[in-house]
Amino acid sequence: MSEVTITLEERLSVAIVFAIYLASITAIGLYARRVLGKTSVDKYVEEFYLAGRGLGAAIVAFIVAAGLCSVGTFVGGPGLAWSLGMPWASLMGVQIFMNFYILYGLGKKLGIVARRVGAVSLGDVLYERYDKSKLVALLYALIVVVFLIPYCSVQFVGSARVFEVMTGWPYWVALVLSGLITVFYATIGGIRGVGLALLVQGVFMTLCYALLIAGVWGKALAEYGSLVAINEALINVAGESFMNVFRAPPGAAWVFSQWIIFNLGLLALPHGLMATLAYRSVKAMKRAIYIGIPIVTFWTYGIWVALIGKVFFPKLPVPDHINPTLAITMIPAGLGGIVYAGVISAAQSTIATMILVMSSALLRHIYLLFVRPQATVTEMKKVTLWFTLATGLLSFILAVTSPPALEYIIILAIGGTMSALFWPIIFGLFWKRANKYGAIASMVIGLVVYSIDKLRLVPISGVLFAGSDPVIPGMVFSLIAFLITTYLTPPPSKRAIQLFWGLTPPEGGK
Amino acid sequence: MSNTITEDPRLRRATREFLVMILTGFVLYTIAYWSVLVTYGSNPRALVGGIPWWFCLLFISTAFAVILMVVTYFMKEEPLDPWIRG
Repeated sequence: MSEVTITLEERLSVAIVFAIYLASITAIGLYARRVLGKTSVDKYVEEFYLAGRGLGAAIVAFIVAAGLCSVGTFVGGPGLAWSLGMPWASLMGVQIFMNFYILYGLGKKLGIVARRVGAVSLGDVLYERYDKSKLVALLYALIVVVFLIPYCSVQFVGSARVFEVMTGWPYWVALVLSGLITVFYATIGGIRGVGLALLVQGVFMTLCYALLIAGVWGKALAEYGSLVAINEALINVAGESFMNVFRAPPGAAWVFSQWIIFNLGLLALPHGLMATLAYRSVKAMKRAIYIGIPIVTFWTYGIWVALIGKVFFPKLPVPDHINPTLAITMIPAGLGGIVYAGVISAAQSTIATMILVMSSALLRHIYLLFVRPQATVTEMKKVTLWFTLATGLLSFILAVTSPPALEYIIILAIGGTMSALFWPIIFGLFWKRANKYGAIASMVIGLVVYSIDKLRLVPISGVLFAGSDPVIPGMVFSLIAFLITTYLTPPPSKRAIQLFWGLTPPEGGK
Repeated sequence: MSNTITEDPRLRRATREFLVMILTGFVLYTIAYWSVLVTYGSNPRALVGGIPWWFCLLFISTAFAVILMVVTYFMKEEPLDPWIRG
């Protein structure tokens, strides 16, 4: 079965819920704009990007959870689970502790240090830690923009693709509607608008998988009678290799490298780490962990519906169509719109947080460092809006090309960011000897090794790392470059050590 | 170099928390999860407790979810002011 018939009732259900959803998100953006409008100009940038560092538990929880659980969790990941089977579906546990990793692991350090140096982005933290190195800041900004724009772009594509399947209407209708509204509310509302929208989006994302899980598992159990029989049906439909985690290809090394990407790799994603700069208190941060863990667990294991979907839809024209196809066929017609709202929520939440990260990188690390160091706060306010709009629109324009296999682009983006930024972030925060030379060498080598391997110019992972994803050689060479360069060059300034470890401010202030 | 400055105890605890995160959330969880993957992952028909083996992954994740929330409970709540004394 490759096509499903969409009734008028189903189309209307999707369209009505979509309209209600977009109206509520627009209203949130306008409300956040009013709050921002009352902010004094000198505090505008901090309010726009960090809501005055006053975000509560629920918003912080969803900045991490909904910001990182993108269409990868709702469209691309299910697509891979449906097409690859167990090698992908078995990895579902990998990302569920993202709130714990980011907030428990890095939250307190980043929260305190960001307040010390007045950081509004991760790039500011790295800039201060590495002795105000402009090259570190520039590399950070370039890496963020180069990898997050395609990452952002596939979010637009994913949500539009689902709309296309669920309504039969053209791809570009949803692309234009959802894309422009996302750019709109992120641009006018800043992190406050994005955060409030995330609360609504989180509810829709949860409802989306609740409906799919009830519908698909319910139908599978009704049809086959037991979990063992469902397992047997999967083997019969797709073959034993579909249910074999370590079959080749993709092989054990590839599976393990995905485990690293979606586990430790989360620590290098600036849009997830943004929450650590903006939370109100450690108490709120702890609550954000309590909220985040069960919710992400639920969303992530929801992906198994796509695996089960293989017994009902062994053939589909595009793997990413599995969840919308299940939504149309397995749950009551009037509820399909909620599933679509869940998917678009996942996309928009990620897009909005990434747009803010890219915009802050361009503003702080390119415009203020290289273009207009003497910019006034009024100019910065204007430029903030323009950069936010520009990054959003650029991602949107790329989405028009409608690339296939969304999850591979997400893996590419996370892998690239991780290869270049992981060690500079971790060593910068927790190793006093780490210096700017090591950070620069690590970023450049990580990026180069990852890129040449990913582009298959030199098959490093195939030869040296048993066929793993290029992120593994990227990380290893980035680590080696960091350590060697750091030990061959002078230690960082006492000022940086004082700022990142000291009890008292460095002499001469920060 | 660490002897040249007086460290902020909050930041020292933050380093300890990072290490706890790596140990519990990454090392122990990876060992537990991958033990199941390696043991049963190549046998599509393997059953554990009468159900397909891959449900063990869900159980392990749920157990660790509880463990990590308990670990979080013991995280010290302290002020985030840039500079404190004592």
